[in-house]
Amino acid sequence: MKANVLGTGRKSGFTLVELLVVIAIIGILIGLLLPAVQAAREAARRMQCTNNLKQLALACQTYADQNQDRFPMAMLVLNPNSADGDCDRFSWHARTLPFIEQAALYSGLAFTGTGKGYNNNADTTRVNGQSKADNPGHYEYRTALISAHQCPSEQQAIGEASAENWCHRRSCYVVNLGNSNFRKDEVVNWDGRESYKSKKAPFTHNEAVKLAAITDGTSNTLCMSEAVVNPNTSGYKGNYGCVIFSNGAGFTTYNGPNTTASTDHGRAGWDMNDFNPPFPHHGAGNWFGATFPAKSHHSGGVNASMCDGSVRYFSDTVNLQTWRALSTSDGGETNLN
Amino acid sequence: MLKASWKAVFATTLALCCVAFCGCEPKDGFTAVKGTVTFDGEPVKEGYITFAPKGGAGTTSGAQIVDGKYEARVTPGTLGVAITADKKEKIENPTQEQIERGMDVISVSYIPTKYNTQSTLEATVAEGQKDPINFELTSEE
Repeated sequence: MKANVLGTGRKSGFTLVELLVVIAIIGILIGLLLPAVQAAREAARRMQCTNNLKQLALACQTYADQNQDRFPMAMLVLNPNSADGDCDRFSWHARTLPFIEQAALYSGLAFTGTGKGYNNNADTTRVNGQSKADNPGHYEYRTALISAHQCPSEQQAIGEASAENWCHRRSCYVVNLGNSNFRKDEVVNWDGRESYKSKKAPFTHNEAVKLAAITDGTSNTLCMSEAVVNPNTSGYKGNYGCVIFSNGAGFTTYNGPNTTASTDHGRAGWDMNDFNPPFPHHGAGNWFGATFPAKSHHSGGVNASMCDGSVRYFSDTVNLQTWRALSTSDGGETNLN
Repeated sequence: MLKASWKAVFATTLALCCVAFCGCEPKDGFTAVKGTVTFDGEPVKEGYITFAPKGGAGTTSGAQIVDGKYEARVTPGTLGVAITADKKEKIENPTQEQIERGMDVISVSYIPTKYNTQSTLEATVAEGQKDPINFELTSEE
């Protein structure tokens, strides 16, 4: 069996073909492995996001502990009938700041007064020790990057960097405003609206809902979920769903998670005419509506926390009926899993 | 010996390729539908179509309408349909803030409400639907 007996025999080793085949196999294996590695990175980001949701849900619980067992109001709207609504008042994001270790930021906020949070005279008195003219209202708060408010999968800058008085950072997290589309009640039941029973939700505008009003049980009711940044063509980086001051600080389950359905003529958000009574919105127009579906950058679903502080992952294909039922606080639904 | 091992390796490679490329067909409960949308006989140039399951089994979805055509992925079953299409209009006397934020243009719907906010449109989509689903809308009452 010894090679080279005649001096012309085959030497031990690999032929070119064998080498090529081995390289091809390794290539295929790497091709299989690489997406798995990428998925692991995304899974890690999703875990981080889960953690943020948990912290914020617990912040709401702590808020309730200190405020007569009431969740923070989703947003404060002084005049919902005006064109721009005086509705840039503070949202639950601001109200829960002390419970995510942002007490210093919180202490600079003026919750009283009228007008928009960002140009309210009463609001401009304590801003980094600078005068109003240099530094319009709540500059410190508006430009603060709060990591607990950001999903690591969100690649876009959250909010504008400009110092204009209306610019402000956003959050990736939105509270549950129920399953309504805020349309008139006499609208034809064209889309399965009959599949939900109640519009009560653990969060609403101008009212801090009592925990005791969540009769479905806190573990059967959604607390908050995610929203994504949708910059418009002018570079305005509002995620439609979520504004750190107020309007759009929540989502509704009228549409499923990550839906491709229209909520506002093809954009995400409703026309003001869709609201009766008028719901807080950001002025007359249609791309900056007030309520939005839960949306995320995670593949195939969204993270959402329940009112008891637990966090679950909901698939995009979750049954609409289930999803809508989960958002109501007093619908009496059972067997939701 | 060489030939045999080469064949074995080749077969393994083929098998691996099969493993790698199988299972790429998405199975997520959606069915692809496409079709056309016309308003008073004219294709809807730009708009949006939304499908929502009647009775709530399934989920909501939709697609853009471009030059009268749409391609959407929907949950099979009986679906309520809403179609919207807008004309852009400049608002009068926009404030500086509105201009900066790109809010000086509003969209005004030209499709009657019976096709969107109070829609009576319906579509029945079978699993693996191949036939296009077309909508012919009119401005008549």
